Amino acid sequence: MNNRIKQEMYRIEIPKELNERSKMGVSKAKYEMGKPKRRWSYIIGAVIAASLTLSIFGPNYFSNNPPENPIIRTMETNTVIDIDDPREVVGFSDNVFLGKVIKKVGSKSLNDYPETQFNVEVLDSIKGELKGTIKVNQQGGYDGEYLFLMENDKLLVEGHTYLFATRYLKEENWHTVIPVGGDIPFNSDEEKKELIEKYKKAYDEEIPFKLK
Amino acid sequence: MLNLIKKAQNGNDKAFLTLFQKYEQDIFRTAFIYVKNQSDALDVVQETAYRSFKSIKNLKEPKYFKTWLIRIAISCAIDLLRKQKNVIQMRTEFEEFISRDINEDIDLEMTVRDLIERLNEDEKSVIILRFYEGLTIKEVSETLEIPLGTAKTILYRAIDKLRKDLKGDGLYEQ
Repeated sequence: MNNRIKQEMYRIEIPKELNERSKMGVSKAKYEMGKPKRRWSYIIGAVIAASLTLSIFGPNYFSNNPPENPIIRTMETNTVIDIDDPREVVGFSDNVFLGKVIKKVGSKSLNDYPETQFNVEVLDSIKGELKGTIKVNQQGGYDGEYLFLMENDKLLVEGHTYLFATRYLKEENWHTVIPVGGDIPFNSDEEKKELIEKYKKAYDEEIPFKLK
Repeated sequence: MLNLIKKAQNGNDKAFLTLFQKYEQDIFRTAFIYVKNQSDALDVVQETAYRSFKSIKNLKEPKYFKTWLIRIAISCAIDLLRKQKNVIQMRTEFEEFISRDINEDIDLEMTVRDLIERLNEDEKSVIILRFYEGLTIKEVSETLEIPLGTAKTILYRAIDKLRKDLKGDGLYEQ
């Protein structure tokens, strides 16, 4: 009986996309999970390491200014959507809007790589109803002499304007930018108009994210 | 393996994927028995990967990792069937004590199609865990969180059903 059931079940053909589907499930979970909660021991360890570094390099080592010539590290992720397809980007986002980066306000990280937070003034909403100044989180940022970039997505620049596509994280009350396809810079009214048209259309034809 | 599970529990997706992919074929085959087609079975695998990574922190006994995965896969498959409104709940909440040993060594001329078409959801769960995963009937009852007596009843009923249905087929052919 035992062998018979096994034998019969082994006759079920394995499709070649099986591997990919496992990855997609894990990626989606990873995306939603953020960073596991730190344990105190890790924090204490970090504090000890930080104080040692401080004593070696002296207080001037730490400054708010990023290094002039950082070593760029590109992070790759198993994205669950095609970040080059606006319809998928819009479908995956909670909010799509035009905004101006006011200033960098933090570098809290929920993952194993740096993340950077910015205050952004919402200029126009395409999807969702965001207004006023909000906190936007970008995966990537400086860590010592390194600049980590997610999928080579350039770090947001204060004073510049972008089309943002974001997902809201309630616990932190910030809006995480979808890399590359979710922060598109524009420099003129004409470009702005084009982006609004393009993304309104993408919203009309959005491909909602689902596990398929 | 334990090391990988620990890493996965700390949120390491690569470690988790390595573990998961060891069993993805078993998960797929199990799902297939329920949902009866490749496309839905793939959906079940993806959903199982998603749910299991999200909840691996709660896995207390790493040695039961595979059984735990299969259990999640079974829930995902049943959820999907419910969504498709294809499933009628067949669970009967009764406990019947069976004193005699179940004779499992019946040489059945059954096919994977019989498994898929002749058994209800509960019977599939018990049969897969008992014979495909090789759990004892006690472990099956613990995994499915049903009383031992119920697990035995379902198992016996499933074996009986396969046998009877097959006999029926035989008569029909004559």
